[in-house]
Amino acid sequence: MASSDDEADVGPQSVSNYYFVDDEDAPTSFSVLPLQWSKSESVNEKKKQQMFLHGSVDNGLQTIHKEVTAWKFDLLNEIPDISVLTKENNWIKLEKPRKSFEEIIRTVLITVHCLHFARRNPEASGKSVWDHLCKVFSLYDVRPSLNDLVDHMALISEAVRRDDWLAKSKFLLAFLEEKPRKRKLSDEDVKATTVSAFIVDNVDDDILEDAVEDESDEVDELFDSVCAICDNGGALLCCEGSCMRSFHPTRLDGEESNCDTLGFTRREVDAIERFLCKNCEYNQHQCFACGELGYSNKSSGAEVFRCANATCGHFYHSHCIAKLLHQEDEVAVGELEKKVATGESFTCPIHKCYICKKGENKKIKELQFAVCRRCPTSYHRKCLPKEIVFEKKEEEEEEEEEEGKGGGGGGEEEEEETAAARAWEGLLPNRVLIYCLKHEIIDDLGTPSRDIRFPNVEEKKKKRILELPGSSGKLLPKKRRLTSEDSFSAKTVAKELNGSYSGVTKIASIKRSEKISSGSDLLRKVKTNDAFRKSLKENTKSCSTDVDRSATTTINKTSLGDRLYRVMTKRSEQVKLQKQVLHSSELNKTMTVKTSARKLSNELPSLDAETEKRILALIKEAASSITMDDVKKKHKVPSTHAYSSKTVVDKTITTGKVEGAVEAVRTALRKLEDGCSTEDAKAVCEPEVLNQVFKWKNKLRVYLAPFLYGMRYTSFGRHFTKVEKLKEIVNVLHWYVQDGDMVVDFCCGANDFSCLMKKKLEETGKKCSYKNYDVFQPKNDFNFEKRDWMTVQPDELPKRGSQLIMGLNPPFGVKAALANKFIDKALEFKPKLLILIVPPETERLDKKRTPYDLVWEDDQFLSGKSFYLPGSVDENDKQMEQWNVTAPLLYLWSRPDWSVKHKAIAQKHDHLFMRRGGSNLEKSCHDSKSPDHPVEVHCCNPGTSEVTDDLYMESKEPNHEIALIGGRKECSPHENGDKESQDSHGLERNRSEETSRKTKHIEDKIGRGTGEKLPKNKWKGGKPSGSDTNKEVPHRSPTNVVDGRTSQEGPPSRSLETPMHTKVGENSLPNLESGMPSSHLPYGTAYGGSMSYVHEDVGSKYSMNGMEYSHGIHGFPHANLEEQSTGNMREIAEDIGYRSYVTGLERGSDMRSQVRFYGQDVDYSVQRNYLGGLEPGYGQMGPLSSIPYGHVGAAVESSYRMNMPAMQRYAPRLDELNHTRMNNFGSDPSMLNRNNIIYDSRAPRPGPPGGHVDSMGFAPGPQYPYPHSSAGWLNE
Amino acid sequence: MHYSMEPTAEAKYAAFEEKVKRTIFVDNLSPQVTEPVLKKALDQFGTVESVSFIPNYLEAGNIPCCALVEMENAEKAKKVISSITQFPFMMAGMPRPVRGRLAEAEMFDDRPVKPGRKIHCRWLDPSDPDFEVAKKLKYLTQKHAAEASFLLKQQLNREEKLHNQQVETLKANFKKYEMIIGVLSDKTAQNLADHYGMRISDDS
Repeated sequence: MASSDDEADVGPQSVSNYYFVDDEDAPTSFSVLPLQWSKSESVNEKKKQQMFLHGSVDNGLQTIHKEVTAWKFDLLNEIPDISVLTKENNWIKLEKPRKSFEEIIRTVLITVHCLHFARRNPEASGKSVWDHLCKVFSLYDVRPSLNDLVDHMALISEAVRRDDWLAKSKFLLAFLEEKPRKRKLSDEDVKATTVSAFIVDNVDDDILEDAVEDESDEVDELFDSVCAICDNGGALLCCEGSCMRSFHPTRLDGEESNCDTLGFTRREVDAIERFLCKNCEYNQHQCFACGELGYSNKSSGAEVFRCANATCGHFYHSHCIAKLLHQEDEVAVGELEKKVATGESFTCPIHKCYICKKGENKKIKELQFAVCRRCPTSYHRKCLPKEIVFEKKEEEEEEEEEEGKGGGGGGEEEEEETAAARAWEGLLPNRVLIYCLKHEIIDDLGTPSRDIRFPNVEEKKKKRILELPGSSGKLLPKKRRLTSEDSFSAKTVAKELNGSYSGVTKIASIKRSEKISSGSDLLRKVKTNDAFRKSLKENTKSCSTDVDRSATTTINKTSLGDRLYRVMTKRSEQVKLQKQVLHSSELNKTMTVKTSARKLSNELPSLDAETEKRILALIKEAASSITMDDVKKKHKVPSTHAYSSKTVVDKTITTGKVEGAVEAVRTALRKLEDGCSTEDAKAVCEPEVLNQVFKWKNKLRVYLAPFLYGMRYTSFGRHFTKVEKLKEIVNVLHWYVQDGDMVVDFCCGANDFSCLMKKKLEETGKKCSYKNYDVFQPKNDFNFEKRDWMTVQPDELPKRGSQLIMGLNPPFGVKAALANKFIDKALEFKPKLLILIVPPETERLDKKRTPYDLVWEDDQFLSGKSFYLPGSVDENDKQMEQWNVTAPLLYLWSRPDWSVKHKAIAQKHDHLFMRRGGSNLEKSCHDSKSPDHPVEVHCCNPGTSEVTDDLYMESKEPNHEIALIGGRKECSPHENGDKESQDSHGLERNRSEETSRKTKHIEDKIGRGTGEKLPKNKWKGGKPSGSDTNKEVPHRSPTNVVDGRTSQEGPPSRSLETPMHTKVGENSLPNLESGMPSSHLPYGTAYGGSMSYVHEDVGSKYSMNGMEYSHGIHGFPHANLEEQSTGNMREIAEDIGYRSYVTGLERGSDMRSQVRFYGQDVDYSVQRNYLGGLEPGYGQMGPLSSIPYGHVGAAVESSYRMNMPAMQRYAPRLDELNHTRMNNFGSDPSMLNRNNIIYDSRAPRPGPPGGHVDSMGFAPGPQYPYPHSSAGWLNE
Repeated sequence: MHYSMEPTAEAKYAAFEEKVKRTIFVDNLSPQVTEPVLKKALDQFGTVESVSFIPNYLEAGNIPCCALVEMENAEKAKKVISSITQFPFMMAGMPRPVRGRLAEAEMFDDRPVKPGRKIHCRWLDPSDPDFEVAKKLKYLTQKHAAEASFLLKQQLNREEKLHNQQVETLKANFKKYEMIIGVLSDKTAQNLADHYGMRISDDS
């Protein structure tokens, strides 16, 4: 079909929103069409199938549907043009593809763009090319990568051949030459189908892997990204072991670089979960200096030792490394040798520049290293000797040579290429890969000899290395392979068998001939071989492990033969076996199936082999009909749950790397502590490695979350806001809603919010509409649509932004990523109000491009157990609640043009106080059910208020302080505005005074704190007078146990606990004695016991900050701290015990501030605890109890996670403790009234609390809405 | 008597059929899943009316549990199924998701007799012309059973393999995690970071 230059104006010039389909309407890429290279050329290839172009033309006014016959691209313009030829001989330029079609043509688009860029920037390095492509294809989920190009190798090579400009591109040449060993490409035409078939098979995998690699980019930055054998990149398999190497797993992967590879098949690779190379498996590693294998097992007679650097992974003999490190100084050599041999860590010379002996700095290009792959030698880029040349244009020459070689079946060009490339960019992350001048580059390989030895196969390997250069001239690369392992094993097996069993020999010889005849049929050959080997395995069970791996390289040929021989002679029915072997070889692929079928048929006599075969075939068919892609397609993940990082975790964070890094971190610190320079430490453990460790932790934690959380993890990891909380939100929010508004819950969960809103709004006479989205079906269908919020378009909602109230509880995601996404999406709708429950790290809406105004926020409201885990039950089959480490915030954001109005409403209804810190008080008052604060006032002990204000000055963490004070400040408006609860005014007033004068405030607070403490001391003292002593003492030990555990897990708590514990014990005795009649001697112990609670509380607070059981005692740490920091504590006579306790606390100064901090919270928590006890109704305020969590949680997060299980384990016991404590209170005469109440309320509610309560200003609120109040939560 | 039973039997069967329609069959349950667990797990999608585990009479031991979960209506049942099939639905820490599909009448062991269906049992004499047919049927049933059991075995083998693989991976990853936690918890890493003057992002 002559297409020539007919760009006649028949029909449209360009098409957008296009896609191509084949005659079966399946989307397909135009790249399968013949390509017209130049106008003068016509396309004469017969097209295999029809293809149709769909799309819109004339700016979308018309749509077209045309059959197309060819395509071309033009690189001359600013952006590359791609056109297709219609059947009417009209070229149509392709503008923008339809979104869904992008994926299908991605590879060809990327290839064309790559060519375009390379043509315009011939000097561009690989990195800049990829940067550019990433920019161009930024919308693609998967970043462009080599795999996209590999698909169009033929196209690229042809383009390079035809275009002189392209031929100058360093990148393309490197791509064609270095990476994929282009000589094979030269005879592409001949083998085009085979090669592309290979690649096509792999493309999908590669793209997936690619996605993975992209994510893990940072991870791999630090470690080798090239094959240990051939030093080329591509699809690699990481060894899990300490060598930290990667290998080309399959022949195909290593084909480009003539790599020996591990010789796996693709399927085997997929089946391997954790790959351990032979060296690591047998603990035999090569010395990087001398190349000999040596035992590396540290625990038993190691000969070689690993470099301490986190990313190095090279092993050395002690004498080798000693020689390397101290070249001249023989004494030092001897010394070091001994040291190393006894296990002292060392860093090998790789980590210092060979010339200037300085370390590496990856951030500065000049100081990046060029690392030799054959010996421990590194140079800075700036120090790199000139003789080590980068791959350059000589390559062209070489390439031609090699083309000639490939095509002609091998000239005798064996001459040494003097200027052979020795350095490569872009293969190692931030480094240059070099072969230093000591190593002779073998022309045929492009690398020095490849001397990677695995245990057992040493001999064979050596032989082959010798063999290679000689054979290269005569044989094509592929043919050469035949002489190596693959056929090796077969051949040798055959040979071994030859003597005794002619049958077997026959197979082998058949096989051999087959292989030779179809030299290019690599894949099949491997398979045949596999099947054969497998059949052997079936019969000769003895050679399991080695053969099992079917790593051809690792098969010890003689032993295999021997073993086979042995087995065979042992067996009497040799003939039968022979037959079977014969049989299997005939069957090739189905071989395994058959043997297993036969085996099974013995067990199931009623089934004949035929049936089983049929069933197995069915299974196989069914299995093969399901591919990962299908599954992924079927399970369309909502946009918010992008591709999981599972594989990343699996394959790239290898045990070896982690181990190495962790060890290196320790070594580095030890070195620093021993007085080494930072540079030395960095040679062991680069800062990046350290960073990596943290990243790993996060990644692993995300990955392992379901397992770390165990039973908690049912459902989709969602958390729902509790209905009670929602009710409160509704109570506040409804004021802002106007008649006719629309309430949109973008992630509705149980769909309670809208229902509650509706109810409330209808009560107040407002008629609104509702819309609820979620990707999961809720129980309640009220106005629900099962949609991914990200896919909802603004015009789908019947209301405009000024009538929209949106938001609520989005999924948070790691680092609030999902929450941000949801909010951004919501902002597209321009709602007048956004109500949000989001983690603190969420980007604030006043920082957005279209900023919103904050009406109010509340960081306390949702602390504690405001959430539950839907679909999860605890061990008692109760709905599982969720306690949060860091309380999410409740925000109300207003669109700027509505802000004034909304703020006025907020003002009017006293919502402004719903601010940081103040909210709890507010909340409680708001509901006028919790007249708790007076308790505090009552407890106030003015005597202790001498504590001065330098308390705060000492604080090492001013932030916290400010936050606290800020919190107070924000309380004050509430105080002014609130008229609902008289009772709380005392406290409120206190607060407002505090804000006005810092000093006073502190005093007051301390007063309060100590005040609480004092009565409690009394309680403690009094407690033993009851019958509880017995209870008390035994309970101490469990406490300790708990502490012990938690201290292991929660680092901060450890330093606190032990010392204070003992001291408390000592001091409390005399203390008590002084305070009490001597008859109370035994109570001293009890007292000590109670002290141990205190610190237990602290400990558990730190390490398991989710626990709420311990508030009763918080007054102590609070007071202690204050006292301790001011030094005033001694003034409080009874508190000797505390002082010592405090000394314990002093351990970590940073900890102090945390503790104090949490002391602050104690005000609330203590009082709440009373109340919680007093009045379960207050349990509704349960969230108050978690004030501490917000703050403390932040400090202790890591331990928190780990502690979850422990916490669950110990919960009952701790609970018990809690109980006794309460009991003890009860026995205190001075506090009798109150204590009684406390005590009683923990038991089933007694009669009316009576006058005491009233006199104390408690409004009796006898509701029992929850089975458990905040303090009683553990009773569950 | 027989006559009067007939309509009620039909009504009963109709009711049963309704029940079947709103019931889902959940498979691949972890042995740890109890009725409350299952109930709560599915309750988030709709009201669960009843849960009944299907005992496994045939194979002893290791076969994953399955259960019938009755939802409030057929509509809901379908939605639940789509919810738990669309996304991997984990239950009680099981590393593999559960599977759900609509229940079938045969899954209920308490199903009423289908109205109008009559089963006659009688002995066949070897000389009876039906004897050969019955024998063939019997043989066929046996064969099917054998086939099913063979298939099951294959499947279990695969599953076990997969399971082992998953366990191994999990253990390995957990070990890594512990190693890292180890170096973090004794403050080594943090101290080193201090020495380097690095800011470590220990958040998230």
